Amino acid sequence: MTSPLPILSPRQRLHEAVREAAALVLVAVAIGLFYNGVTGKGIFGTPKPAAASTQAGPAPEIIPLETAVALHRDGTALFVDSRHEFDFRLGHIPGAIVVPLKEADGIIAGISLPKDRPVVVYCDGAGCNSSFEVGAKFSAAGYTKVYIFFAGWTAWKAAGHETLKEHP
Amino acid sequence: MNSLLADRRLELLTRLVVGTIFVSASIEKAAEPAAFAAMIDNYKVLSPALSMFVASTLPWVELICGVAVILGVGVRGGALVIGLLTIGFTFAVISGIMRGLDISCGCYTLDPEVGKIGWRKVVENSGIVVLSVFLVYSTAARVTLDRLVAGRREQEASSN
Repeated sequence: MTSPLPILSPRQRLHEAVREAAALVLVAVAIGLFYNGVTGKGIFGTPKPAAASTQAGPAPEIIPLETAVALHRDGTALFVDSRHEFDFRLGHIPGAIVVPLKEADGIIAGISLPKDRPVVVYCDGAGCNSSFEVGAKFSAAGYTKVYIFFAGWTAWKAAGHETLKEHP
Repeated sequence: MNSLLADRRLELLTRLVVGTIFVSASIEKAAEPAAFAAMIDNYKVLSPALSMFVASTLPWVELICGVAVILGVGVRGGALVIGLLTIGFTFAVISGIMRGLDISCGCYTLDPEVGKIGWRKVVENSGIVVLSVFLVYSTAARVTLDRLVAGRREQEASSN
């Protein structure tokens, strides 16, 4: 099953690579488009319906640090940390519960709180999306006052507000 | 250097490593292009429409090139594509790090909590690029399908 390769100069090897690469990419793109066309996924998929029409509750509202602090002082809001449990244990907003995106459906189903109770969801901070996704799940579950604390844990900690660390 | 490029075992091992990484990285993304498109969107580099096109085709390029490298059909081409893609991914990761994005890499899984972008990912990718360059320039006699087919043709030609 082995045989010596034809002796090619480095330049010829590169030329061969370019020719093969072009063929492989063309075949792969064709297969990808065919697969997506047949299954109705990807670029051939149906556009997602507007978020509001699929939500039981209104769309979550993004709030700044000051509002999050005020809601925390008020004490009625449920603070939800959507980061990984490991990060949560290292430090979180006091009173928050951890709801990682992966386990969000099960945890939210197990929460029995009045649907008009304010829910503040946060993750690491700007660029982190899990707070949006977990917030959307709370809205879909019927919670009517879901807030996304977009600046998140990073801003809370930087502002010097109280934090809590889980002890093993 | 030439003896390294001609080392058959090293070449086979490299093909298996690089090919397996790309095949395993592609399957979940190929099956769920919409979820992969959302991850590409997180990098805030491409428009949503372009993200969806890339998500619909890129995993298949990774899959086909990975399979090609493992089987030995068009190894140089597959390795070239893998190397170029990895360089592109690395620039996207570095750009995300520089902009302070805390996002999932989208490299091997669609799980948003696994494989956050970081300098470790840049180092890993650099390793893959080196291995790809090795495969493009390797002169080792390969255990490959295309050599097998070529060998049979030669045998048939000589017997005729």
